[in-house]
Amino acid sequence: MGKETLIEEIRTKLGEAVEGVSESFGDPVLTVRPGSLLSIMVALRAAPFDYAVLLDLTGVDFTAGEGRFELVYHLYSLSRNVRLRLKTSLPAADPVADSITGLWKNADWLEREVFDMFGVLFTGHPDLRRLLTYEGFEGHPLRKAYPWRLAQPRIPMKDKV
Amino acid sequence: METRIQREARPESMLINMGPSHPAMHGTIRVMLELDAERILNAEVEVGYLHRGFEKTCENKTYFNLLPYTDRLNYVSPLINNLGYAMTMEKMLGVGVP
Repeated sequence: MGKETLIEEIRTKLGEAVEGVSESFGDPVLTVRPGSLLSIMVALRAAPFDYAVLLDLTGVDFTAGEGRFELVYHLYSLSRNVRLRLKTSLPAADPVADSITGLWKNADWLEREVFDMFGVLFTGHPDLRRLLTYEGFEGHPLRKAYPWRLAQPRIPMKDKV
Repeated sequence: METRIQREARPESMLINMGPSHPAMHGTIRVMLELDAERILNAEVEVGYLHRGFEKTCENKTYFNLLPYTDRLNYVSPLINNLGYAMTMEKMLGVGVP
């Protein structure tokens, strides 16, 4: 099943769980509801889709204009050499999504980074804590509400020399 | 503040911290190792020392202004980062290259 028939296969197999299928500069994009995200991922990982690799998981902050966070997943199938992009929209007030660490091991750190940068909570994550910022950092940097240059509170020294 | 490796370590093994600043590492990364003589039994990694806020900085720049930032993503591969960024921009804006 190559790139051309991918859209039809997704429509027939996953059906009503998929909110929309679109094209973005030649790449197929699936838009899904956050509630059905985990079931769609399970279906995509299994045959015949066989998306063995989760390439990337990032977030986009659309809270200013459209009042939502968007999660973007990039999947890749080694056996068929096709990529897929999935997007879900989470409410801006309380962004919670299902964790996919059970399916792809690298989702562990990817979800930690999204949590650190955007504040999106992932239910079912084994160890959700900050990844890139240091202990004592306040706020979620990549949110649009977070100013570009912000003075962080001073961190006390760990051991007094 | 106990880390995971301190909680899970066996009593007869040695815990060594390959601190963020280490001559053997390419860059700053903290690896906490649980050792049995020279064999590594367990390792915990702490990253983020090289996080420069690149994405946030680029949000406040124009498309052309942030080209030097892509140079400095990785010190060994500035040109390929530039190429990746330029090709992405050309694809998105529909700009043809002579």
